[in-house]
Amino acid sequence: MKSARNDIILSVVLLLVAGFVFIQSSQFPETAARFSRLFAGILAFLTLILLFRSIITIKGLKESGEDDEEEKSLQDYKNPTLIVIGLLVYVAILDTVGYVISTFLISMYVIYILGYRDIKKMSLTSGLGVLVCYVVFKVLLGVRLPEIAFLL
Amino acid sequence: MFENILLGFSIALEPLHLLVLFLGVAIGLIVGALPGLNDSITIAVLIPVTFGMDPIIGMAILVGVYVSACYGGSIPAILLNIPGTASSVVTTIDGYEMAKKRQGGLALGVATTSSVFGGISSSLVLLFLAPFLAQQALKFGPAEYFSLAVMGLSTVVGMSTGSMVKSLIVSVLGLGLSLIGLSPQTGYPRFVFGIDYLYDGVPLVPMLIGLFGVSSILSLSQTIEDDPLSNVKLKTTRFERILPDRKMLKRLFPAMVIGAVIGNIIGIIPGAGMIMAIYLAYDQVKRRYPDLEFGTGVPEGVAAPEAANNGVVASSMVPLLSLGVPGNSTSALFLGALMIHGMRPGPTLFIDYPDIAYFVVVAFLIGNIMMFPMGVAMCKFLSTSILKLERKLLNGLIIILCITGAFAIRTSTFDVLIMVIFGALSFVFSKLKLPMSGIILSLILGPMIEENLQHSLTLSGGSWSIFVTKPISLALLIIAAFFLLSPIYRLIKNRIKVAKAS
Repeated sequence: MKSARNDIILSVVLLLVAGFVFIQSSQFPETAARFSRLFAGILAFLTLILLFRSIITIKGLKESGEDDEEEKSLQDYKNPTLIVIGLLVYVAILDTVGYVISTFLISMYVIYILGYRDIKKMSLTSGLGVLVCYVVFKVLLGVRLPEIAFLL
Repeated sequence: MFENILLGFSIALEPLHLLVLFLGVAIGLIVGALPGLNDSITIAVLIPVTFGMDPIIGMAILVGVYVSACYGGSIPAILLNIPGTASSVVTTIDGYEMAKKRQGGLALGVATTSSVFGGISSSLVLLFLAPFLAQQALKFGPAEYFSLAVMGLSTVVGMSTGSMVKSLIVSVLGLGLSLIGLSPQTGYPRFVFGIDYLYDGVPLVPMLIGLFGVSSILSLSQTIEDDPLSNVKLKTTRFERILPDRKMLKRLFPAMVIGAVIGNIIGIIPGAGMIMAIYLAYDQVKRRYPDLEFGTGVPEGVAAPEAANNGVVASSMVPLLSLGVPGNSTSALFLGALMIHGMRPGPTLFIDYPDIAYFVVVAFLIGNIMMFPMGVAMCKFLSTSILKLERKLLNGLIIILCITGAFAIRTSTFDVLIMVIFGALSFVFSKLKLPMSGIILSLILGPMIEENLQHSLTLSGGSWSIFVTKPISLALLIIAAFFLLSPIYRLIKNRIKVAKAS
C-alpha cells in the first residue's frame, strides 16, 4: 500500500512538471518548443497510467485486506536528510569559508553521521583527504579552489 | 584498421601508460572488493582527476578500474557471502559454499580464471567489432541516428526488470532534463531560469558524480547500522593454492564459454547490464549440467557468472565507441570522460582521434591480461586485509573526492550544488523504485534524438515517413518496437501461465 501511495504522490508531482513544461514552452519559438511539448505530452500520458494503476492497486489491497509492506518511519531517513542538509550548507559557505576548512568539516560531518566516533582517526582521514585533493587539484592540475573570503 | 590497432598497441605498451593502467587495475580490484563501492562510483569521482591529464593517461586509469572492479567484487562474495559489487550476487551462491568446504582458495582461483577469460573475450569483441560498426555508422544520416537513439532508449525500457511504466517515465524524465539549455536548432535558452551555468545544459560530470557517489553515501547512511560487514570477524588468511589445475580448467571450460558468450551479447545491447548477464549465465549452466547440485559449492556456478560479468565490461563499450550510445551506466561515464577532453564518442572518434580510440580498445585487452597475476596475488595475500578497511572513514574520503571533482570541472560552486541535487534525487528515485540507468542514458541520448528528429523532418519537408522509408532506420525502429513490446509479451505469457496453473 505504501509504495502505491508513494506512486500517487509521484504522479501528482510529475503531472505538475508536465504542465509546467507545457506552459513554459508556449513562450518558445516553434522549433524549440516542439520537442518540449512532445516531452510534456508523453510524460503526462505515462503519469496518468501510473496514477490509475496505483489507485487500482490501493483499491484492490483495501478490498482484500492484504498489505505486507513494511512502513518506513521518518527516523529511517534521518541520516540521509542530515547529510543532504550538511552538503547544502557546505555549498552555501564554500566561497566564504574556503575549500580547505569547509571540505575538512563536511568530511568529518559525514563520517560522524555514518556513526564513527574516533575523533583522532576522523581528523586524520579528513585532513589527509583534503591535503591530497588540494595538492592534486590545486598544485598539480592548477584548479582555482576557493580561498577564505577575508584573505582575498 | 590493423595499422590503427598496432598504433593502439604501441601507445598502450609505453611504460608510463602500462604503469597507469596497472594502477587503475589495482584501484579497481580494491574498490570492487569493498562492499558498497563499485566501478561506477570510482570512475565518477576519478573523471575530474583525469581532467588536467593527458587524455591517454586519464583513460588508462578509468579503463583499468572498469576492467577489474567487477572481478574484485567476487572476493567478499566468496569469502564472506557479501557481494562486493552487484555483479557478484550470483557468485555468492556456490562461491561461499565452496569457501565453507575449505575450498575458498580454489573458488577465488576459478573466479580469477573465469573473469580473465570473460574479460579477454569481450576485449577481442571490442577490438574487432567497434571499429567495424563505426565504419558502418559513418553511412548513417539523421533519420538513422534518430532511430538508433530511440532503439537505445527502448532497450533500457525493454530490459528493465521492474515496472515498465516507471522505466518509461524515467527515460522520459531524462529526455526532459536534456531540454535544459540552449535549443540545438535555434539557440533559444530553455528552462535555464536566468542561470548562466545552465546554458550548456545540465553539467554531465557533476550530475554523474551525484548520481553515483553522493547517492551511495546517502544509501549507506541509511543502512550502516545493519551493515553485514560490521558483524563479520575477519581472520587474515593466506591461501596456499589458488589456481585450478589443468583437469579442473578442462572441466570448467564449457561453463566459462557459456558465461563469456552471454556476457558479450548482453554487453553490446544498450541497457541490458551485468545483472541480467550473470543470472542468464547461471541459469544456462544449470541447464547444461542437470546432474550437478548447484548451490552446494559447484565450481561451474562460480565460473559462468564470473565469465559473464567480465564479458559485459569491454563489450558494453562497443555501442559507445562505435555509435555514441552507451551500453550501460558505467560506459556512460566514459562518455563524460571523453567529453571533458573535447571528444565525442561515435563513429568519427576512430577517424578524428584514432590514437585515443584504439588505445582505449587495446587497453581493455592489456588490462584484462594484467588482472590475472594481480588478481592471483591479491587473493593470495591481500584479500582479507582489504576487507578490514573501515568503510565509514572511506566514505569521508569519497565525499571529499566527489566535492572536489564536481567543483574542478568548471571551478563552479553551482556544479557542487548540481551534484548534491542529483545525489538526493537518485536516493529518492531508488526509494520509489525508479531505475536511474534510464535517466542517464536518455539525458545523453536526448540531444541526439531532438537534433536528428528536427534534421530529418527538415530534410523530408515535415514528413515522418522518412523514418520508415530508409531501410536501416526502419530496421532499428523494428528492433526498438521489439524491445518495447517484449515486457508486454512477458506479462501476457505469465498471466496465461498463472491462469492455466490455477
